[in-house]
Amino acid sequence: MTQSIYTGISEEALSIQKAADFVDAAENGALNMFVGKVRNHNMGKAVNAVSYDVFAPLACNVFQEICTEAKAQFGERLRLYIEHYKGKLEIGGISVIIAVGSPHRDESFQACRYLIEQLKIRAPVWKQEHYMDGDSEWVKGHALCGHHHG
Amino acid sequence: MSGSITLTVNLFGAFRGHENGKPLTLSLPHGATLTEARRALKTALDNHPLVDDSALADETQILPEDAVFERDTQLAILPPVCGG
Repeated sequence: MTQSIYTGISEEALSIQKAADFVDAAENGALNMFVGKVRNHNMGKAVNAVSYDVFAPLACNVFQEICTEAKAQFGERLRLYIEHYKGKLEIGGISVIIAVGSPHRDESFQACRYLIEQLKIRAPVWKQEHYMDGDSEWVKGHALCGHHHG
Repeated sequence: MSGSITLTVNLFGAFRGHENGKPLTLSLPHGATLTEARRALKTALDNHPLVDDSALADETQILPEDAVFERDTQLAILPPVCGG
């Protein structure tokens, strides 16, 4: 039986075709994909590039975990693909690809949404925006620790 | 058992700006807790405000708040995340 989950971190340009090919299967009538791209603005500031930092081994573990959760929730027949970029991207560059292949559309939409939303709050990935004025800033994010400080 | 252990801590995200992102080496007592490790990290990172909101992890998992370090360990300090 072929693997039904692919997860990876890449320092090469991400490929939409590679993701589509992985989740394709004769029994699937749906292919759902989320492609994250670098946009030219954030919080009112003009952006010209974004650098992505990734703790790769743990990120791949987290990707596997959320894929396993998605299959448990939305169907074991799903084929799932998560790949995140590491390094610097110009405007329009692809930072992340999530792809879901499934027999029917409903579970493909739900699983795709689940994977990207969980990735954003659980995966050890950080982005540093580079602005047109020459400044750079790490984007505020979601804390992974469960403790609370007074 | 007494003595000390060494924690080697890799830096990510906003912490990369500290001394060019070079890993930190902390010497702590054998049996040090995660809370003690975080306190030492805060000092080593010049009281960086994100330390309090950061997790400590190894290559496979986020460490629980009650983790105890019994031997030399390689860690990562993970500031709040924002992938995608």
